[in-house]
Amino acid sequence: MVIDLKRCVGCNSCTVACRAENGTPPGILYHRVEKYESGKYPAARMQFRPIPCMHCQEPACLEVCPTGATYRREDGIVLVDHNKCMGCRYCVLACPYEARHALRRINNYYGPAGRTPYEMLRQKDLDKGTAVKCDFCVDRLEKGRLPACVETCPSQARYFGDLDDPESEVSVLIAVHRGTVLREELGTKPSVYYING
Amino acid sequence: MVVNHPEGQKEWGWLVVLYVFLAGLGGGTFLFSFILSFVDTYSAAAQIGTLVGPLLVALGSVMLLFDLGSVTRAYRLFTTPATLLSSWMIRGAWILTGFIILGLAYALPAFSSFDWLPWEQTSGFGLGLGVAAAVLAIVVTVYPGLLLGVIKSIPLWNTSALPPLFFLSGLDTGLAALVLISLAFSPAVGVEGFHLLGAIDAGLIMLLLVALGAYIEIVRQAGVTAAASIRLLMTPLFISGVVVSGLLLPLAMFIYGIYLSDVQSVRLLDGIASLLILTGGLLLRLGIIRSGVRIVIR
Repeated sequence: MVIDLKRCVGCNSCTVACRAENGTPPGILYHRVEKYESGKYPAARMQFRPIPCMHCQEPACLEVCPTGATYRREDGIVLVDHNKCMGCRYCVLACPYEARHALRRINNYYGPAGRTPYEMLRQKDLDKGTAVKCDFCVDRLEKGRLPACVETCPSQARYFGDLDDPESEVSVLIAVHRGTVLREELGTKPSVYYING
Repeated sequence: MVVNHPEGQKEWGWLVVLYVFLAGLGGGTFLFSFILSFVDTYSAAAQIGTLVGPLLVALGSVMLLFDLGSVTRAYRLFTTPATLLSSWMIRGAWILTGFIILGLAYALPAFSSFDWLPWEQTSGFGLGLGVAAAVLAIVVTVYPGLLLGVIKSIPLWNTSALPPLFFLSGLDTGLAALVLISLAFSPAVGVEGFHLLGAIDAGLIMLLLVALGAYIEIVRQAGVTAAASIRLLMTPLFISGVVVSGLLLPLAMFIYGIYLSDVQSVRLLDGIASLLILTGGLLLRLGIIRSGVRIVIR
């Protein structure tokens, strides 16, 4: 995935689309947008950085997982097998991007009314007490669609494709705009690149 | 760049703090008890100590189980050996289990209700068990420092200065526990026996002061997040509970105790010093685990 920070306006549509797609319960965000100030007055400005799971090639979360619940598919997507996760939260601490959450309980938004049928459908694979994270909308990918955050972005700041193919749109964008990854020095080799504004 | 409002991690709380404390304490207790069990003066107290050590580690392990989000899947720690290649948590699970089993197997035959066990503590096999458990005890004491130390996203933990700190503190608290056990056997231990324990403990405290000082100063210089963690760590509770009453005061008490010849006064002094050491050991781990600030991403 490539995120063009010059185009990002910090609207959080990606975050909302992610919530809607995955039916995440209150307190659980698979995606967030960090706002921060850069530069000094009078040249100071507000900047935004959307942060999904980086689907690293050398994931810190996978390295520490004691039960083999976290795994990396051949196409590079990092997933959690909820039937294997015992909820030690070692991965939540180890992820340098804070992309993982411990699902302590599944709360609902509507109090005594309980969960909506939509939430129940979306949350059917969630397991209380396990680690949860962004899966690049793997269900949608298998149907040939784009991840919800990519499809939704109103300023078209996000691109999704095959990093192994040097001619894919994402590879070309990274090469032309000198895309960077977050915290490269940690050696996690993220698959999410940023084009800096 | 400054980390404006640093917050310690919230994922691991009291149960992990207690585990890290009990693992160091249990490992240290067993190690000292095993070594001193060969000295007549201490053999009765050490016999209890070799039993208490594995039991404390087992209690700590139970704390970890309670901390899990899905306890029913904890068995997976023993059914997925492939992750032994990468994860310190699963290595720890095997090390803890091995130590608890071997430690108990060594300690139990010394008690009359377990004389049905087909081996003696003093036999070659029994001693072998003891030596193996003692080696594992060292690993059990160091291991929490590795469990935390490999987490790259938390600079307060991600330093090679942490495992030696936990190791020395484990030894220090373990010896304190043995002093407390020895209080019940004071006629056998005698004033000289307490003097020797006090002298060893004073030496350990000095090493621990060096290790703690080096740890704090090195982490403080290791970047903005690390410096923010150290500011969070240095609370009045940490300085008074760990540094002053957990290390400096017991050091002074042990040294003063060496100059006393009345067994009752030495017992009292060493007993209080040991309780202070145990409290300091717990607060040290609480501080380090609570103050683990995550690196800023951008």
